[in-house]
Amino acid sequence: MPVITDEQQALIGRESAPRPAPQAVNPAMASHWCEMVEDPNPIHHDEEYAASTWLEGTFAPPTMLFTWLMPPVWPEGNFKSPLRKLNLESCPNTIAVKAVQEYEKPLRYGDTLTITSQIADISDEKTTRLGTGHFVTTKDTFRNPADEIVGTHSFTLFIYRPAGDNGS
Amino acid sequence: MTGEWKKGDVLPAISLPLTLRRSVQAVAGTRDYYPVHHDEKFARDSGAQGIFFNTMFLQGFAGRAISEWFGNDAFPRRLEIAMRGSNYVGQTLTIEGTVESVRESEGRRLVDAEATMRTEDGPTTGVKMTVQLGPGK
Repeated sequence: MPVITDEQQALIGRESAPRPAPQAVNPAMASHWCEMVEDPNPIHHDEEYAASTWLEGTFAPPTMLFTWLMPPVWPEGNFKSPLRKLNLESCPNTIAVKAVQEYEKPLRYGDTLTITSQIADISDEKTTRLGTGHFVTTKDTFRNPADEIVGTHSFTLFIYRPAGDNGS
Repeated sequence: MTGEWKKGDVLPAISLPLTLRRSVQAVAGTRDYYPVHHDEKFARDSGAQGIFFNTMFLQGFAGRAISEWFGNDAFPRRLEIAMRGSNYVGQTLTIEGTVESVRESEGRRLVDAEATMRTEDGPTTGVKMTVQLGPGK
């Protein structure tokens, strides 16, 4: 499949239905995140300090953005990534290549974010030292309960069959 | 820190040991249960040299560095992470960078910076960031 098909092309830019994040943005998960990278910034948990800054209150680390959409492993939800519609069965391996996050507003505790997802780009078939496949970019958009965009996450993956695997 | 930022300013190294415990924290903290991040055999069978850390962990580490470099009330506006090599359990991850430009846009005071994450094996991750500075910074 050296060139993407019309069916694949038609998926580009098609936004999924909005879905709620599994958990509201919350200080417990934020503190686990800060512990993970040893981030002592008081703006994430010290209300008095945070309220004294131009950011006007505590919020979860902005870089947590993508974590809020991670589905529970139990019970399994019914959200299917738009990637599944690409039908790249001949390409069993996936590796993350690039992630770009843009942050519009602080992630306030108590807000349940709403997420929409789309395939933003699919490359024609490429061969790298890993193997042969397609670079696929997904874009997730996160909104707060006021329907404001709080951030976006663009993720470029290389979906491929390893070099030496003829895909049969 | 109240100094004026300028192009060429060095963003000093920050290091984090990538212990097995931290990989467990990263799995739970990022809610990423893909087995390459917790199952040694699965990771090796898929061609990796062992358990490696995921993209969200790298984003979190960059976020911590942004706070340390630019202040607790700095707010990131854009973060780009380019994965060039894996960050394995047992290694030490270090980030350091350089200020590329300082500018004002729509009333925001912004710093653009580039950084590199590396382990004992060399550079693994390219990082580009745009950070909004707090007032007086």
